[in-house]
Amino acid sequence: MNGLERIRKVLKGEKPDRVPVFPLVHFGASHAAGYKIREFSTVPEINARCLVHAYRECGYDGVQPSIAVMVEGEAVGSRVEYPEDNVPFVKEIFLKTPSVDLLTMPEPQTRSPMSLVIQSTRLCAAEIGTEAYIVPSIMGPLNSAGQIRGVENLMIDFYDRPDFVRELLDFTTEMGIRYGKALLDAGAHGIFIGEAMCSPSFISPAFYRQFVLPQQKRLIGALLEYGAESTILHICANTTPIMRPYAVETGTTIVDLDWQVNVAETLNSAEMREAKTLVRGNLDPATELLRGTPQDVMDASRKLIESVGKNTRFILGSGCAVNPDSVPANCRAMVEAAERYGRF
Amino acid sequence: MNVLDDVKDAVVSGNVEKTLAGINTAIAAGIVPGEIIRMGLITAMEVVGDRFKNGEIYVPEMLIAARAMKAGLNILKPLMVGTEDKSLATVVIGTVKGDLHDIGKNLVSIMMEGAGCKVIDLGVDIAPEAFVEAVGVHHPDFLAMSALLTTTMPMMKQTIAALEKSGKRGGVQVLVGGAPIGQKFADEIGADGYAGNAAEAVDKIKVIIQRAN
Repeated sequence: MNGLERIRKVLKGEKPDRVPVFPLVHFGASHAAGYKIREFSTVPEINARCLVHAYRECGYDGVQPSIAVMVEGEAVGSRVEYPEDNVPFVKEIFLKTPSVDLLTMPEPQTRSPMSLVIQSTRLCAAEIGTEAYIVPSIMGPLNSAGQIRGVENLMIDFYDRPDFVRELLDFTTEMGIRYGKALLDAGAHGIFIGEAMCSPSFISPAFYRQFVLPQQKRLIGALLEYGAESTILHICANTTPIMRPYAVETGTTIVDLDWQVNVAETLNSAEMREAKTLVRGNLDPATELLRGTPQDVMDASRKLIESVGKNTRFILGSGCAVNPDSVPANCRAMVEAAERYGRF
Repeated sequence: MNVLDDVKDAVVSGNVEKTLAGINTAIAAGIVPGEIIRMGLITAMEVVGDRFKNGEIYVPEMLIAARAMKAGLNILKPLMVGTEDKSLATVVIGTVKGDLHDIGKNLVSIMMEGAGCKVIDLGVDIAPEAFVEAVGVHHPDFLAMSALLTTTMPMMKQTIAALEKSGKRGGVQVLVGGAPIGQKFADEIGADGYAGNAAEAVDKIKVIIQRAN
């Protein structure tokens, strides 16, 4: 059974041969293929080559074409810096004045760096699209807004000009829908949506519900309606206080839980069972995957798999983004753990 | 109600206008600026820190409270005379090289200022040599470093090594924090303290100061 079949099985609620393994590897794939992060982030052929190489070396079940959280920000005009071997970041935000009228909706097919991720997705789909699950990343409405307006500005905007926040989120949601559709057209099976700032580490559950949840619903609904087999919604840090809106009300197919959350408890809650939401999670990408040995990763993966029990709604994942030093050995250890301890 | 309580409540709720009005009333009533800062602003930020730690408020609420506190400090600082202007500690803070995340670092900076520290914020993407230089210039009691990426956390270790090489490690307590950082990592790289959030960072400083006295 290959990765594509395995993940499609669990999406249908059926038993695969073993627990699927799908760590969040994007820039993490660069070094193992012999490239620096800047090359990975700026050349679509290298982006795809790294992702395919890491997938083959580690043996996990899917790939996530992506650059970093700055893609949408740069597409509308924020200035991004690409360090030689570190993750690119927004150096200067575009929207210094709080006015949505200044924004122009980017055309994903032609606007860099969205066009780069689309091209990488196309290349991955052509090379491994019949064996691996292809899920490129887009940013969720609030994360995109942060890359355009600046995170701290946006946090204060919630109080000073809530109508502007609503309008900006309307814009970023619409942008996400267009970008996601273009990625699906390029051969993606599903869409990964990254939302770092929705957790209670940043905003209150009340603000999440009031401002962001309706937009995430709209984004996810539009992508599923357009033909995405799945959406993977990732909100960083401890999301337990917002689990119901996050995992049930957004309508996402899969939630990707960071290492602070108890996967077994979440998976087995009554509402999650009813909603049939799948859970991907959740090794600790810094402590276990980066600084641990392959044996540590095996042990942690085993513990996680056993805590969940034989549950077809579980996909073994990396909590958050994987560091290049965790590829291939430590990601391979995740797959080995699933082979040994996660057989159905 | 006591006018200093009014100032405190105004800061906690992030109301700049009421904060300034309260401070002006307090000044008119003859309360010295240092007292207004201690009983109005610092106590307010203690409340903010506690509520943040308890999950009662979040980053936006903390930022608007900080804005009110800073507006108050801007009026009061120039009015302070002589020995009144004594800070709890001097802190040099920054996000490590290669890392542009600033919100966590800013929150720590705000809370430390709110606790009465003198804070020198170097900003983001700070190289080990720049931290060392700032320690040489400002002679801080604490050096606080932030990293949000697994790819930049090794810079903390390099910065501590650079401090040691320069002979300046002894005089300064090194604090570290950020999403991928934990106590274990802090211990491994030889930091003096780790804090999981901005309010904890202030607690940590207070504990270390108390131990030293």
